[in-house]
Amino acid sequence: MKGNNTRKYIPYIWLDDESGNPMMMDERCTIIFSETLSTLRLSLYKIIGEGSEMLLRLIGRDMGKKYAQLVLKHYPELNEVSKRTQIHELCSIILRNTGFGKIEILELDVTKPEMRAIIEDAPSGLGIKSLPPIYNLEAGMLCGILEELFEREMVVSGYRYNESEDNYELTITKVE
Amino acid sequence: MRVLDVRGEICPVPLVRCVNEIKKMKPGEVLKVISDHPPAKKSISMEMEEQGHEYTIEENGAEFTITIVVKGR
Repeated sequence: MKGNNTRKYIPYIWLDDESGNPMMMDERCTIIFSETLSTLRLSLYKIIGEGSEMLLRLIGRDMGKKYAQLVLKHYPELNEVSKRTQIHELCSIILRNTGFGKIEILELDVTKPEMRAIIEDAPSGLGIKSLPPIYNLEAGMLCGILEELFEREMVVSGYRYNESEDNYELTITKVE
Repeated sequence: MRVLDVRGEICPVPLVRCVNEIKKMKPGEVLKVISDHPPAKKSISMEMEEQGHEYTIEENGAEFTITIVVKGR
């Protein structure tokens, strides 16, 4: 494995021999294809319309909180690093490593708190051309991560789709 | 000088092992961290700045080495 930059194993995902279940950080998990999420998004939109996007954001928020709790429990050392590093690391683990897209943090103010970031290659947008390219599931996950760390309700206060780069820039702030 | 080879490891392993290693070191000692996981470059350098350690980054293709000088406590 040393020096191999093409494939890496994820140390916190394994198969439990006894139950036969995949496990992530000691919790049962389900591995699904990325396109399942875009199919889910499209189906929800067809049934309940635009409200489905808010629903996805709420689901994402709960996912983000749960992921953050698990990561911090499984790697308690992350409670000892600075808040900035903690956020960067959690975003990398929870989004990139588990297949919810790439994230680049553009600005981060831990005193407010406020974060501006770019998400790209998110699974909820895969292959969907009929819906706006807004990744509400993944945006919700970021809100959930920050809510867990700051113990404050967080909201997406601004977003912009960058068509030339095919990415989604969003600003997350606390709810006043 | 200590060497921490975390090639093949992904977040948060490189950061966690780096931080744990530094805890065992004395002021002025040098730690070289070798990694090939791009997000680790950002998180390790960010944490070193927060902790006040001096560091340099050397790129070598897909790999990089972060050389850290542990600050006085």
